[in-house]
Amino acid sequence: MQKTELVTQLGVKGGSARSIWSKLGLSGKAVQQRYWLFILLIAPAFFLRILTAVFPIFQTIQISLTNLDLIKNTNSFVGLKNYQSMLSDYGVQGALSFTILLVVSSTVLDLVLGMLVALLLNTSFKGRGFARTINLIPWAVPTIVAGYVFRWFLDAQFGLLTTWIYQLTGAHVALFINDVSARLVVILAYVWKDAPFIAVIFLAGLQGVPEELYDAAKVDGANAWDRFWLITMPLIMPLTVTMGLFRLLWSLGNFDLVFGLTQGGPGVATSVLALQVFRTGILFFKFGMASAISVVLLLFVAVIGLVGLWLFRKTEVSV
Amino acid sequence: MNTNKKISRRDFLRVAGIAAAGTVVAACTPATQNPTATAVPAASATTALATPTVLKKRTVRIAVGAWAEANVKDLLAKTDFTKQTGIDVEVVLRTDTKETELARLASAFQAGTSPYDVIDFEDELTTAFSRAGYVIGLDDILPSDLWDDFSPAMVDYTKVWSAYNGETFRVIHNWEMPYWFYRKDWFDAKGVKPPTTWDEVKPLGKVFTDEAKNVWASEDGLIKGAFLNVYMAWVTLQAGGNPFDVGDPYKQALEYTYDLMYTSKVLNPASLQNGYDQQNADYLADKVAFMRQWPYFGDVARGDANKAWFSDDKVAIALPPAGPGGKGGSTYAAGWGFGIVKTSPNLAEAKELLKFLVSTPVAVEAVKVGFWFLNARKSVLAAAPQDNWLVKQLKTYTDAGVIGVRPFHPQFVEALTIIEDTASAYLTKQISLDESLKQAKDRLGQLS
Repeated sequence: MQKTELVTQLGVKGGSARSIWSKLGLSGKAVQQRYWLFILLIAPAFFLRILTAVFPIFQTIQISLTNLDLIKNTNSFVGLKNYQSMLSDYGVQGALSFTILLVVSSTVLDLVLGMLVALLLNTSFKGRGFARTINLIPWAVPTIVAGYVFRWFLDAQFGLLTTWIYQLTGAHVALFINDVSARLVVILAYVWKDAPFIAVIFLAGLQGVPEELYDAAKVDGANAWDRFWLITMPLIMPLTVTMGLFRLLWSLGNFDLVFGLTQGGPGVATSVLALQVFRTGILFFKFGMASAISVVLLLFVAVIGLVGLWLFRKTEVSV
Repeated sequence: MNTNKKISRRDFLRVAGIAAAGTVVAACTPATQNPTATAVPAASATTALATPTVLKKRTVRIAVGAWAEANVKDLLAKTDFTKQTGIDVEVVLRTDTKETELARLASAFQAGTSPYDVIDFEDELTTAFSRAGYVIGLDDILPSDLWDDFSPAMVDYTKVWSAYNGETFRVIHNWEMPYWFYRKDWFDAKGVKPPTTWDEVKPLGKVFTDEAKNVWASEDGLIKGAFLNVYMAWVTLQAGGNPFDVGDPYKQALEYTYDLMYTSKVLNPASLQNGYDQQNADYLADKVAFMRQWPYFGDVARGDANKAWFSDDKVAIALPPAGPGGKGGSTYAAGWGFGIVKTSPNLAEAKELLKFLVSTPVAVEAVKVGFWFLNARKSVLAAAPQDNWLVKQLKTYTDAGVIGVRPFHPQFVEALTIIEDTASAYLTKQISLDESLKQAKDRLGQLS
């Protein structure tokens, strides 16, 4: 209960918390005990978050200002040097641009495709249960495995897809030696992997839309297109925003598909920031630089999170 | 006595607090040793006679890759190491990739411990381990005449890859190089001989490449992730340099590779998206006339799965074509060897085991146990089965003097990533040669 509500109810305008509690018949000692109980109950969660989220974030920011390197055994304060190096680093620049392209395009495609599949799975047809089940198979395949499988699937000599392209056009294609096609393949592979999961979530959302609304719309003469845009979309918009937000955040931190599929190549065309963090931190042991890249990723996450929360509140609806 | 008396909250908290504190204190106190298991130094053994003691068993752990586990166990059993020294050896598995092993040992080292005492490790890890101080120098424990048994190329290689600041940190037992495999049947049919120089390679595109059938004169595994770097190091060495210097030989190597891909049509550009498995599959599918490949391909080609396909003239081996740098750097070898972890709790035993393993008689026995121990040590080459194709080729390459020293960089893993990023971008026509060289030079310059 908000304090203002309480104040209104108790008619103690301008009163302090203590006077409110006394109006409720609680003594000072009892109030104190309640405060302690409150602190005791939230303390584990509070300290857990401090330990697992706040501390690592501040530690990462602090390390990003050093040249901490376990191989060279250096650990001195270098200010913003790591951030300056990132600006001129060909690898980081490439990773930054493709990260933005990848997360935005694959998320949009995921949501669109997920919605289409969900709409399809929400209709009545024979074998619907089976279709709903097999829909989830791509999502259940481990991402790194999917990466290697796609590499063979698109192999220039023996790949299934490349063979079809050859049979149709007579051209032997090597999709990963061209930056545009390599990027496209990575984006589509992400969509293939994640869209089924998004579809299942959307399906749950669609099933929560009251049927009476559609019936009423039909009576009013709304066609299927109108019903989708005027009823379905507004009602599942919070879900769309939430899933979009999650999908953006997931793909920002993932690099396993890229690792298995292209290793970030050709050149740095399909490299992503998370892969750069992995390489710089885990392969090169340059924790200072890796932390700086992580901080940039963190900024992305923070901005996306804030925008997502704002959108979520804006699109909140009640039926 | 009223046994039903309720415990107050205060009493409960007090008792619980005391119990918790006691647990914490107990956990933080060093464990008292079991007197019956206490290790007693030999010198004090007589004075300790009054109390019954058990001497601690001497043990040592050696970490090897899963592929070498059986060989190492066989070798230790065959050579009676435990019988001779009284030291029990536990063969443990290390991780397959250098990255995970580096992370694993780095973590253990920070904690002042180690998951093993002796490790069998590759070039890249030697560089990282020696510079990070994770392994001990071995010069004091190695016999002074040990290196007399090594071929000059192996000694040169050891000075670069297994040493740091003049101190040796690893003694190699496995030393192998990419060989130049070719379809002798195709070459004979076309009436051409294996090329001996770069210039002789270029016309082979016209001879063998048939793009419509996706058949290429040559193919390689050049995907990023250390594959492309291996090739760039190989071809830059042929040009007489080191890619990490980003000098003229590296520029020549890039130009030559680009020419092979797009002008002479010798090297399939799809190599840039292939790993070695894909490269091998293409060769076995009769899509490739010749290729650089590590010796394991010889075993793949001779394997049961390819029995129907295999014949000696399909997997012939010639010396690699020499580049502008001369035939002395036509190929390079990479190696695996033994070293000792500085934080090993069994340093004395580890030293004994390493001395034993690298000694000439044991090295000779080792190659009889398995080719994981094949290298160009004089004694090993003499003892190895002479009719084996790999032994023959190692001898041929060694005698021909075509093995140069693998191009080195002190921060090898990071440097190779830079070479791959920039070379791959140029070879896939994303950036110009000058831009590629500039990016490589700038980024490598920042490493030092």
